[in-house]
Amino acid sequence: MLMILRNLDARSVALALLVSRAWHGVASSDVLWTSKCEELWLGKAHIPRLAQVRGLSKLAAYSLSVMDGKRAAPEYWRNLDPYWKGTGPPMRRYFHPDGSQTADPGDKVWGGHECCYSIVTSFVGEGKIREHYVRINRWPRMFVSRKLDWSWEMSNNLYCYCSIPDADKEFGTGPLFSVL
Amino acid sequence: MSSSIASSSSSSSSSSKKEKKISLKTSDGEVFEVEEPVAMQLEIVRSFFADNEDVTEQTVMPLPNVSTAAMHGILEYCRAHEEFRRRMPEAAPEEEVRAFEAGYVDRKSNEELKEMILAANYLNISKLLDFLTGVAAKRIENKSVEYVRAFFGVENDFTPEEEANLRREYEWAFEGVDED
Repeated sequence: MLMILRNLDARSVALALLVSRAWHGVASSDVLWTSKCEELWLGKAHIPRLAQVRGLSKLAAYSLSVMDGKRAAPEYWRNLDPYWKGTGPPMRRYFHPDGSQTADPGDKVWGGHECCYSIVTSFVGEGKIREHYVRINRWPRMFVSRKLDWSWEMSNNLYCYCSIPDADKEFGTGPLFSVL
Repeated sequence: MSSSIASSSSSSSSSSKKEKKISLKTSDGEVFEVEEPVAMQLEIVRSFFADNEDVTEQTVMPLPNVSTAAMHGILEYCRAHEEFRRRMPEAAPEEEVRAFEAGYVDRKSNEELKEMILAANYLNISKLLDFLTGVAAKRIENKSVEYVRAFFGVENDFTPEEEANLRREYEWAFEGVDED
């Protein structure tokens, strides 16, 4: 039976768990799920920490990961973002010189997690720069550009940051902290 | 072990070197005369003859776990593969093998398939077993739990409550399952 299950995709093996107690015993074996976890995690940006706890069965790890992956994160963030919903101003992110990042108190999206950024510059030699970007946590690299009104923009395919105008300009409040 | 061997008092002398045949007796008492290279694909037969010096060509090897019907199916497969091997000893003609295997398995009902898997497992024919378990997997892939139970004739020994819990736990596996 194990030989048959080896030939099945993850979903079908998961279904086999419900066939009977004996099947559950075989279908939950790490032998089957180790490779399935590796396959699932390959190339993924976020793997839930809980799923990587040692001693957790590979089936549990797989199941946790799949359910976590189905969590509609962008949707979730979007609904909390007042600017996106048109009910408030853009959220603020403060980039501190020490490489940490903070948000305004009461920011729902922020949720109190730790955040850090770094500026990555790689030189090819002779003063030439090959790459120049900002990395926030483990997100895809963010590239910095300058807009027509001399404001700064930093973005990747998921996120976009704009610099806050000077204190005396419209929408400007003046930097509370030093802003990139 | 050798005490269980029945000697057949049939044909002529053992020196008829034309084509060596090996006699295999199924659970329902039918004796199959099988060409040696074909019979040797059955690992259980090969090791039986390799490990027992006192067996002769007249020895009928009993296979109490294999039915006549399963034996027919197994020999058909092994003979075809022996034929491929004889024609092209270097590398099997892959396309032809695949075409044969597809046609071969199409004619097998689920019942026959299951019986042959058990027989192939007992006879220890790894190639056939790999092939058949792959076919069985394809037949139950994406199928509902009920279908898999019916396919293998497995009794559901979970309590309704346990089953409901498992369904909730592995909810992700239940999207878009074929019911038939």
